[in-house]
Amino acid sequence: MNKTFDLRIFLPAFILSLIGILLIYAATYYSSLPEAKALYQKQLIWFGAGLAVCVAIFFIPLKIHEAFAYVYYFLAILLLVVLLASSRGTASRWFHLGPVNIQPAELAKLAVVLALSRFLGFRKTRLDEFRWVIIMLAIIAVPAGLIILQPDLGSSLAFFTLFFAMILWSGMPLNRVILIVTPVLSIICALHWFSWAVFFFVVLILIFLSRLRIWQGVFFFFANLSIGMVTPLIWNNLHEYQKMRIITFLDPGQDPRGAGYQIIQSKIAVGAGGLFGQGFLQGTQTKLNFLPERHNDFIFSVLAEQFGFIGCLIVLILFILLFYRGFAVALKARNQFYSFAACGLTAILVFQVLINIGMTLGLMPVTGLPLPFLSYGGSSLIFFWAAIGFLLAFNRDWQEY
Amino acid sequence: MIADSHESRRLNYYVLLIGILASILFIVVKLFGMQLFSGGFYRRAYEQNGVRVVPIQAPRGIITDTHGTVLVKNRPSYSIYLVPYEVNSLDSASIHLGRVLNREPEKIKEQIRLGWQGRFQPIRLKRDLKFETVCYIEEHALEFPGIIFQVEPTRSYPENNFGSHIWGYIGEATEADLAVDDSGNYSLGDVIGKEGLEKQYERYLRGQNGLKYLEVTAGGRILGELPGKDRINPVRGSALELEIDWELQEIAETELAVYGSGAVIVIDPRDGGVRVLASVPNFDANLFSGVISREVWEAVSSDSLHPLFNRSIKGTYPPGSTMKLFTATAGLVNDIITTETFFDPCRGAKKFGNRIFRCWRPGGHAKLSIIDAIIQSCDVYFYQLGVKIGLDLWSRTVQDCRFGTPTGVDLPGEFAGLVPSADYFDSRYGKDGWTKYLILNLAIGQGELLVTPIQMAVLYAALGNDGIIYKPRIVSRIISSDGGSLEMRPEIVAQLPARKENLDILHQGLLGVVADERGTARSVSIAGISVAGKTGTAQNPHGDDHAWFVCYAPAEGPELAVAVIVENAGHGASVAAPLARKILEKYFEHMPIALDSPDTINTQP
Repeated sequence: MNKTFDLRIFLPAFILSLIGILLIYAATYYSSLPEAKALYQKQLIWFGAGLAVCVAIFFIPLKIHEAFAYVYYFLAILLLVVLLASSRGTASRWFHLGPVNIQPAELAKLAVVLALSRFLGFRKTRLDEFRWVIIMLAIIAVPAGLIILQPDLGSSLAFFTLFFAMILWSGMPLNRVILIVTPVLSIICALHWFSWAVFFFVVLILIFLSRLRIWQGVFFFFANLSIGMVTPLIWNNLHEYQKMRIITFLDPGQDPRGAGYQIIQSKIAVGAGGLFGQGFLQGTQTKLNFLPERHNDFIFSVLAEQFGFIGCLIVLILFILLFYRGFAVALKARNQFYSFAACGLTAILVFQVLINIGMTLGLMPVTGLPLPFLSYGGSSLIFFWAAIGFLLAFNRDWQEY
Repeated sequence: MIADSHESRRLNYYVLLIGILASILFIVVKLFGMQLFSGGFYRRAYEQNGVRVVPIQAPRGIITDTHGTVLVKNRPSYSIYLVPYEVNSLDSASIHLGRVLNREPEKIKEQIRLGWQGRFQPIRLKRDLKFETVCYIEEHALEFPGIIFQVEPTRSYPENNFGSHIWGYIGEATEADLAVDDSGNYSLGDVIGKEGLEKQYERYLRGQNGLKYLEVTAGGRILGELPGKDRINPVRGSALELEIDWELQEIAETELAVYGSGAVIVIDPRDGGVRVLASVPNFDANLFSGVISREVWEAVSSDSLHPLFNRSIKGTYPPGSTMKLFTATAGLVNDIITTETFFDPCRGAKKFGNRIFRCWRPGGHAKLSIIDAIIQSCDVYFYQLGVKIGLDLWSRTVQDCRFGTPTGVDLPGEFAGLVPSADYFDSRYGKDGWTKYLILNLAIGQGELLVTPIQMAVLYAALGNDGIIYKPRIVSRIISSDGGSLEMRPEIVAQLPARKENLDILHQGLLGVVADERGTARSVSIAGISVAGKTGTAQNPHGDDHAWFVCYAPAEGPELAVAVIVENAGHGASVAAPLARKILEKYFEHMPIALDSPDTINTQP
């Protein structure tokens, strides 16, 4: 067991989950609502369920998942469609099944990782043909689009991160990877003519260096050119309130009474933590209800307020251990399917940790992405424990060789 | 091919790893900076976050009269505050509150807008709520979210409105008040003195507001005072001890009220202390303590008698015959006349140029000395004296007597009155637009000459006190809440331009006005007290003449100088003089001299 069951993967996740429950307890301790006070108990149950899923995945032969990857994928899409259809225009991210709420987006993440891995692991030709990239994009775009419609921008962003990580992992030359993402970068750079001019010059060099076929080069040339021209036009034709929405999304400090309020309160809580924190169950940001969504998206602020820099560092180290083991499994995996899946799952983990903590510190927009293992929420916890299950299983298969 | 792909994957893996590590490093550095090196920035924000600093209003200083009788004090009252954070719809809240507070919803929204200091900071909507209103809102608490009450001191003035022109009134600081204030101690809606002593002594009366620190949740719920942070108690404003004698003040206002409008000033000639400052009609200063409702304001300001107008220091009237003393002063001091000087006898009128000027007594006064002319108030004598003095000398001397200059009483907004001079007439009527006979009217206190009642009292006090002109003082002492006191010392501002022998002559004349059988104010004589005074009738182009009486007593060593003007009451002797007598009687009934008086009377046959 100790050879095949990697404690270096299991233990950090396990400890993080326990810390999460402790923080949820602290975050809701002063709430006046009894159901809020009971959230840590619910999370404990979810934790049990997550462990069960993890063990189940560990013991089910990986071949089955490999075989059913596309089936999972279509089932996930079906779920998303049903959710969208049943919500009838109102925002909904959950299926309500009695006392349990299920977030299909989390299931979809897993399904997409498996489907992409299956696709990339079994390809017969090299991926320098952009055809494959387009198929990959399609595999991702369908569920991501359905999730954007919920609307849940944050979760859908995780899918595009997945895409980026997967093409890097496929071994595509770096200049081509960059070239593929240039149309997206073009939108950002086009907000000022000078930055866009520099950017476009870089794109031209990349096209030249990448030794593309003529039509591919022409495609990237015109894609970037048109996006660069259209973006300022669209921006200038937006209403003032629409611009404000985009600006406050990117920089919440611009709106101290609305979105900025959460960020300001979160930063105050973090800053007040100091080296050792205010102490467990101490600290007025939590106590007096100033921290919004503190058991959920802003759980890291509770950690920072009550346990200070030391507490944050411990949690970050646990995450780094997980990242490291995740990529290690991906590097040594026995076959390409395992390798891509391990990389994809780890990439989602990394992405959510960075985005969530960045948001807490006011470095990133407020996207509503939970912090893996720590934030309250069953679907998220189960997804990440499923990911741990897969990583453990991939690791075992490599050891068995 | 595969090898190539693996090679390239390894490279990409390192790029990815470096990106991730750089991001984590960035987060750690940011955390380090925020938590350990933010220089207390977040710490301060953190400490302020759950704390609501609520001012505790300091009670204003009380005001007492010279005997220690408390005249102006404070009483507890309810103020209503709104916490914007707890209100879902300001529109509907304004409508509900407007109904209960008798105010237009628009006005309430305006108050909220002006008073906004953040959504957790309570905004005061109204002071001094009726207890029934407080009960009603408490009973219907669900209809009024975000409402809190606070007990605050409110000014309480005498019920009978007496003295209102002394202390004036307070009000809420407006944007205009804030613009003027350079102390930075006021915020919108704070209480500030607007008139009278309340305004003049604002910085003493105000005291210092205290603070308390309340712990509040983000939802605005108050958990109580913040543990470990002591409240700063307010410092009560300094008390004012006045020279005012409330008993005399009450008599003056009661008597004046009989006639409708007028003013009474009583001054102690020995030091300038103001014993009475009455102006009628008066007003209810209590109505002004909070926000003045529009109805009250309109009622008060549209009243034809102008109850907010302080006649005693702002009312300017022709002085009538009371001025003759100063025309006489001009004659005596400039050596134009002596007691031996006689003019043409009075035959009831005299022709100057081609106009006939009449004496008040159609029968005439025959040949008079200056003393008799004062006693009988003979106009013809003073016409001739005026012409002899001439306009320039007359107006210069009268100005030296400090007519046309504010007395400097410690109240805001005192008027100066007017002493016309040749320059004045030139600018008013043109270089040759007036005749030298304008001096005739001025010499008997009519025409364009204007004086205030307080000027009259101050200068008659000087006549009785060797010509020494004191600055009138209402406040005698300022007593701070820690017991320290500041004496307001008597202040001599000038000396009447008259020699001792001149003053003796005037004094004899004034005594005769009351004591002589031909005097115009025989009705004032009080057994045992010698009163020196002068009646006057101020011609009023808008209606009946105003009645003047000015005096000092006891004549040999004056303790009081009294100036009375009763508007539209006709002749000074019949209305103003008896009113002054009532004040003197009241004053001297307590005095040792009054106890001596039976003896004095008995020994004199």
